[in-house]
Amino acid sequence: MTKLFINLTSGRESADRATVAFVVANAGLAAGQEVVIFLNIEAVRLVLPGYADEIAVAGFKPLKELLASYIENGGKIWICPPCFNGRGLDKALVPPTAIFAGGAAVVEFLAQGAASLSY
Amino acid sequence: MTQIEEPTIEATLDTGPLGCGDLILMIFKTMRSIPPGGVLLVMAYDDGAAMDIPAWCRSTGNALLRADSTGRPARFHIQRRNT
Repeated sequence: MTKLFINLTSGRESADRATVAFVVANAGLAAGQEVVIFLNIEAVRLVLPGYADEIAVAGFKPLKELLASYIENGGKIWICPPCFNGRGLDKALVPPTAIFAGGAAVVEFLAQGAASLSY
Repeated sequence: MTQIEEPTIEATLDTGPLGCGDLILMIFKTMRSIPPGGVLLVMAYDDGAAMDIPAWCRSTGNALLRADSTGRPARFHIQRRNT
């Protein structure tokens, strides 16, 4: 299995970036890749309940559906801890399908040969 | 019952509020002051430490002798590689 790393920095303020990142991530899963989406900067908010529900871009499925499909098919979500904590967000609201992981985990995954995309 | 031997700790590092790359950089710098084969005890409060510290150990060839992420701080015993 080959690896795909997707760096996502945007939330609602750039609905297109958030949406397309998950579209490509789902395509990666469908192609048999091990996929990690690294949520950092504003994108950390995407794991909060209800936050993604209002994101929908013409031409694509709503982000809520894309996210559900991503999780259902084994996609991994990593959250940048300082980005999350620095925004005063509540860790108790993070679903068990997402985990906190930072620079060292990212570097290891990339060093293992993961292709990377950034949105 | 087998007694588990406690590793001899060369130094202890309390990483405080550091996380992500800052946390790893501090461990990296501190590890340089540890002699080869010596053990550094890292106490970390960052939620990503449970992923990041084992990943850093695997990437650098330092041995993660013990990891306990159940409490805060999480505790990691890292043995500096010999070369």
